Amino acid sequence: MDKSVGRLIFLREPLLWFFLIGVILFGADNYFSGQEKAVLVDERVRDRLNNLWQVQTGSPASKEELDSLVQNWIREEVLFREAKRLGLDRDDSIVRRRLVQKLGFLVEEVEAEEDQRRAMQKYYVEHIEKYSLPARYSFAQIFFSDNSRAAEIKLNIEQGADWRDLSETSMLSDRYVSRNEMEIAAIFGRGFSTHVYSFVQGKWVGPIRSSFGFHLIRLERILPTEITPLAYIESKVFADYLQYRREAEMEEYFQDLLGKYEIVIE
Amino acid sequence: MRTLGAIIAVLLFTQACDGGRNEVEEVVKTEMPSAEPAPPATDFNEYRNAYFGDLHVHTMYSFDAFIFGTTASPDDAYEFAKGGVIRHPGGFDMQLDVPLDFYAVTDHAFYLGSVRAMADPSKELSKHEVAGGMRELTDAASRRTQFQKIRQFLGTERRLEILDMQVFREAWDDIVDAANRHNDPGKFTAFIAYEYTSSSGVAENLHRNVIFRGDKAPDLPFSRIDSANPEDLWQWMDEQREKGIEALAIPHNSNGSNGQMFKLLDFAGNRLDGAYADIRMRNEPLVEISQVKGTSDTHPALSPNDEWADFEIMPYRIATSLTSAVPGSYVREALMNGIELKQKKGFNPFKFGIIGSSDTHNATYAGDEDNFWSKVGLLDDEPVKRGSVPLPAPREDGGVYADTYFQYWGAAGLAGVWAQENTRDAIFEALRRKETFGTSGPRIKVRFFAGYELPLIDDRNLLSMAYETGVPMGGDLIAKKDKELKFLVWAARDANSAPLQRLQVIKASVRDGISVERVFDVACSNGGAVDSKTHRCPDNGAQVNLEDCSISDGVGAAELKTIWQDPDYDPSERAMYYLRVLENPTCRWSTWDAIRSGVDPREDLHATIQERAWSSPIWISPSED
Repeated sequence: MDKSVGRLIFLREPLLWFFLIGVILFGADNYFSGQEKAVLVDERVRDRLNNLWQVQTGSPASKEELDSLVQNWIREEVLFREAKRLGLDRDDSIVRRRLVQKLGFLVEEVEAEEDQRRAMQKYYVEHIEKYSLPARYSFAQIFFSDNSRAAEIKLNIEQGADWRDLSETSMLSDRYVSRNEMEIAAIFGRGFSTHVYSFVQGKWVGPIRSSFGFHLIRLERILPTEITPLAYIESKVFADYLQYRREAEMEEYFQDLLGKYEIVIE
Repeated sequence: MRTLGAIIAVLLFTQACDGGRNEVEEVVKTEMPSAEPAPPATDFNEYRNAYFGDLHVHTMYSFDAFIFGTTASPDDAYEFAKGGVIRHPGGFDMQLDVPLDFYAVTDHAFYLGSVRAMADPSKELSKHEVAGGMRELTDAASRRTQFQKIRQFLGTERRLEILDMQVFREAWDDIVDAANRHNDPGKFTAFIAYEYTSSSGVAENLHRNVIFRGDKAPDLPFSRIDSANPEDLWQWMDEQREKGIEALAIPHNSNGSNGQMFKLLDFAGNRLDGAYADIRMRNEPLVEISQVKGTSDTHPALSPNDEWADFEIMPYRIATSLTSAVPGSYVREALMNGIELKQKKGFNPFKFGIIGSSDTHNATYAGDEDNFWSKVGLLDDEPVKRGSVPLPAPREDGGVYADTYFQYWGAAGLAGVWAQENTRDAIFEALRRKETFGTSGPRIKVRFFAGYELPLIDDRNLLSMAYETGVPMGGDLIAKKDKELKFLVWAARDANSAPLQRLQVIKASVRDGISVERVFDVACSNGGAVDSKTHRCPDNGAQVNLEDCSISDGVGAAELKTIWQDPDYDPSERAMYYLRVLENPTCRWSTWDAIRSGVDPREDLHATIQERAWSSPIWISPSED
């Protein structure tokens, strides 16, 4: 059997569930019908309380401590049953959310380390754009608020005028260094940044419209997309992958369950 | 033998270097045939670039943020500022449209990391009685209860029981390391910082953020556990400075201080004096004017003649529903009291520059009206919780909206600086010399100079001459009887927000011993001219469609600029001037929430706002002639 499928696969066997649930229902019916008010404190309860105590404090409970834990447990159990009997667990968003959360832990499958690594690498490749530096552009710009000046400015450039004298003064810079598309959108506006693909090295292109007016643009340098090696960001990719897998599994589980329920919207 | 080897190595190295240089020169020669200088390699600008950032950010180490559900670390916060995605505890992704240039994680030093440790069963703190419930935090109600429980405990004599020095130190070290790791000179500045969380009386906010200049930080931050008196913080900062650790403090939420932040008495209740002004100004050159918990420029009660004073007013003391007194709580009044004190007594304890910042407790800047996740984790992550959309069923007292104060919070608070480059030194120096401005969220840029020989507005060398002949925002000038004082006032819009409506100068001057304020419109959009009597621009007619939040097209300006002269100028008066620029109206976040939820915007809130920016002031001393 493929290890990556996980050791909980048997839980997906409907027949097994049918059988288990049958046993539980039968047992519960038997138990509660006769002695519904009995609170049984047995070894199982004591063991569980003792274990919990040990996890929290680092040492096993003494006899006095255990007695006190049991007394607390009895109190909680009685009140819990009464609350349940009164139906207080129904329509309570905290209870609902907590149960849904616990279900999430059940769904999470354990993956072997080797498989997990391979799956993470696959995830990294499939989401490589998340782990890449985008292309960055260095460029010069001439700004004018009136588009009818465009032809005259182009002519001036061809005749050898200094381009820096042709721009209207504004708070924009003459030159921008290594800006990605997102940063260009921040400076000139979202509509403008889609034009980065029309920039040409060493040539004035435009006019291009921005939130401020119009621009001629000359590309001076372009740094292409750079992939960040997995080794540099492995822990981040791993965390992203786990998150992704958790959500995908829960979604799959939910869709599976959804097919078994009839949703009635009135 | 070893010596010979070393000589050969040096020779080879020298040759390699020479070869490299030749190659570079050739590249320059072939690629740049014209006389034009080579394209710059960095953004360095002698006349300074505007950089935007947030100097007020909380992460999981803040006692309150962790209870609110925030698990984002300082590392996550810096990743977010650089453009990364992080997940809100409410289950949605948060990402900026545009990365920020600088960021400072400012967790509460007070019980730094303690509450997070309470939720960690391996930590001793998790066994403390107030830690009960820390692992069962689910909905907003349980978090609010836990927050109040811990807050109350911190008000008792037993508060030190939950101060674990090991936890404190680990958290601080992580904050320092994260800032140093993410600081990327030339591209992104991360400051080591923290919040000093003091208050007086009942929730009278005296909070300050402490921002360090360099990569070295004190062993541990000075917190309110050391002293609740901010004067002791300044003393400690002086001591750190002597050890070579330079920092500045920025007070915030003066609006929630119940008049304490700028009161005219010291912490002990004595009258202010020159020594107080010196230590305060040496350590606190700036103030945070706008953030999520309201804007502190001014209040309608203080500025009845300022039609734009009613902007994101948050009427309560911090984290309570107790009213905060207005006098002593707002920046403009403090600036005015400052020049009045200077005139009467020779010292000014309120001579500060201006920034904005968010105070997010989600690790993520929150200044966009149309992409607002507010700031206290699971307490206000949904429109219903923050009171912008009605509850599914009315409250017992008949209220339609959640019983909260989050509706008074704004999507606000951005810091702007004029610096030559994006490095810690350059930005810190800009903060020091107050060449700073604040905005209510958008990346509006403002330039402001005063001088006697300023160039014409269209001069090609406008900026170099402005710096040469005048002083920029944050500066001082002495009035001259025989010369005309001029101001260069200039604002540029945020390319992705609304266009600008009007540019204003706020003036205060001391007349017969009393500080008086005036608001002048100085540049109007759409060709409008300022009325010489009312000093107001005509209405530019900009509209907002409340069906979908769209705004009028073609109305408003991309830039507004002019050379301005004060019609009331009197060189014998002490004065202070700062800029305010207003955008055309746009939807407030609460209106966006309502529209997206298909309900009407709440009637008792402003449906639209005018986003804005404020420059640091320029101070004019009376003529000595």
